[in-house]
Amino acid sequence: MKRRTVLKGMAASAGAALGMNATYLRAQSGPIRVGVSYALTGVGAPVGTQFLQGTEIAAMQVNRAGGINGREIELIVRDDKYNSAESVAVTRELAGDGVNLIIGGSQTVTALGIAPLAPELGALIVIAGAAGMPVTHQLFNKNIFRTVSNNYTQYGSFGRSLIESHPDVKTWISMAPDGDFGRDSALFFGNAVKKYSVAAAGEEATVLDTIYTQGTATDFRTQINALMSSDAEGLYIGVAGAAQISFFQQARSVGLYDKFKVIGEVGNGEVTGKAMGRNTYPNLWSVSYWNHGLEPFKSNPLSQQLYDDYVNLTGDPFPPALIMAGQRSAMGLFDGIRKAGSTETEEVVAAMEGMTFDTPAGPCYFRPEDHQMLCTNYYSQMGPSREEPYYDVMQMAQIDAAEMVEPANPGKPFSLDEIE
Amino acid sequence: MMLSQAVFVLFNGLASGMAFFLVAAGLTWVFGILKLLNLAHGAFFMLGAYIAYTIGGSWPESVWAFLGVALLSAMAVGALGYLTDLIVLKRLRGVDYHYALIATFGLMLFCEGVAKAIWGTDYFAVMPPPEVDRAIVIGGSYISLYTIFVIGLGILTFLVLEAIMHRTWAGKIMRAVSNDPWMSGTVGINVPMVLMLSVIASFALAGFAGGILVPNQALSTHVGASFVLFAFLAVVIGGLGSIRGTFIACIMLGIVESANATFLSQYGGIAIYVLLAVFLVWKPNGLFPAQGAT
Repeated sequence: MKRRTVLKGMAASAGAALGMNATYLRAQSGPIRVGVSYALTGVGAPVGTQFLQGTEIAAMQVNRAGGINGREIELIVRDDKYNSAESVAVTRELAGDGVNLIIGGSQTVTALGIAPLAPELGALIVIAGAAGMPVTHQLFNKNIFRTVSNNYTQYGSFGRSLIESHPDVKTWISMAPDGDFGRDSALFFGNAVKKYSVAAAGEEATVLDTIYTQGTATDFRTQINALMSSDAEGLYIGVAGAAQISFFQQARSVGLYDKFKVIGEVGNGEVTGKAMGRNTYPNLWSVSYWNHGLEPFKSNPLSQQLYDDYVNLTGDPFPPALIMAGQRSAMGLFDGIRKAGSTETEEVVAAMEGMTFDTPAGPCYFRPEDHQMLCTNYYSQMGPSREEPYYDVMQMAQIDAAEMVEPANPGKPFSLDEIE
Repeated sequence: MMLSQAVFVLFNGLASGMAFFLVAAGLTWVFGILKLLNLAHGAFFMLGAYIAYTIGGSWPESVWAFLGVALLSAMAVGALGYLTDLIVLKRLRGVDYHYALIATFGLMLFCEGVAKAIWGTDYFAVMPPPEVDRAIVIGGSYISLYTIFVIGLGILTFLVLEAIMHRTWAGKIMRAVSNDPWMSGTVGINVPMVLMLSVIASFALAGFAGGILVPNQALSTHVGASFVLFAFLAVVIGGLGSIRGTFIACIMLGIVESANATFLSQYGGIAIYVLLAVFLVWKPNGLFPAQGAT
């Protein structure tokens, strides 16, 4: 071997070592860079932007308290455009930029794209808002943590909550989008209504066949006509976003508000309340996360701090509930980093497994087997109001997710037959 | 049960068809005269809906106030049409139609961005005026009075446009310019003025449709998407530029869509595409093809 070749090799090795060392030093000092990938445009934007506000508040709160081990949080925000391919692209881009801690998946459509990427990218991904069952079942890997209840827990708890608060409603029906989420949520809701009606009302409630529609439909006259012609007195609506508001606009005009004693909806919450205002259905129950003015949040200092920070940041005195979901997702990750004392993926994953942390909605816990977060599930009752913002959240019902969650079965598809 | 469903399908289809026509009217009008396929039509429909919401709020006081707001919206979007013609469309006359497609697509994105900057990403809801904010039961089906109101306005709009186009000097001048702009110019018609007025009328129709149809669905920057898709299909089936053909196509599309949703709900929207495929094979130039179409 020539001397020149040996010298070149040594120089290259030294350079590489120095380079690696520089990278390592960069990762262990300066701000902690956390990637955020939510739907900020497209039809998922109203949800994604609220998640982002919550996440930004969490970062602000941590930085105000001196950061984590003296290091500030720096959020690197990307728009997944409510598109699976785009979510994959921006997650890869974040990882390529050296970001190994990522919060994303404000909806199932994007979470299904990014969840399988985490091991390949060596990243830890917090799935913030996706309730689809595959995330903690067949798509599970140890690098992902879900900070929202899954569909089975969420909509089973919802059905149970509604039948327990409305035992006089004997016949129920669902209208849901014709897809995995819509079919699952209507099924879990209906099953829980039947199961818990026996204890609540002394007899099993009737659950009629679900009426299906398109998730982005704009014309619901056919479905509304079928609902009006049914014997049901209780309704679950599985369509979300603009479609749900269109449904209420069209339903109200034909007297659907008078026909049903109670309506439960998938989780639009204040989005529907804000849009419908004085025309909000008077006994509308929503999958919810937070309301600072009602217990148990009112007496929780973390909840009041979140409210104050939101109002200071936006000037809006009516924070949407999803703000808390975005804040909680980020706090779960930040507490994991703090506990690990490191930003390395493996160490943060190990720290978060089985971790319990405080949130504005009470303590939450990451189940070690499948990284499913377990908290209390909340359901808000809304109705119209004479005062701004012309809708009111009257009360919150709650059910402990631990009572309603399926046994952990990571790596395998969810099967209703096995647990019921 | 079948009779009740048939009645519902017919009413619902007619209501949808007239909603499609209110949107499609401006689209086919501007194509008929300028040969311009305006991809931004839905965006201006959306702006019309936002303007109506801004002027009239969520709860119209009466049907007359509601109509007045829709007309104001039409005027505002018509004025935007004038500006658009001045800045964009005028420069595209005489160039290949591909440029016009790209330009109007860009215009659509621009309008959506402007709407987001002004009104944000929140959803809004506008209720129908109180006189038509209830339902009647016909044959066991619940029919909203607002949908009957939309049916009436759709038919009225068609009759007015037909009368203008076939019974007035203005309509004859427009048809002359549409058929042969050069010859029209030689006989003293101010062709640029006619073209500009046609653009303004088309945009005003989009704004009017936005104002009238806003109680039908949640108001967001995507509000035009569903209507415009059907409007484009109707313009293709009816014959590009034919108001009469578009009107008939809208009714057909509405009824087929309604029957699809009622009887084949598990195959959402499939019947529409079957209908389109049949027409593209059977009558590729549409029901009422423009003169010279091959």
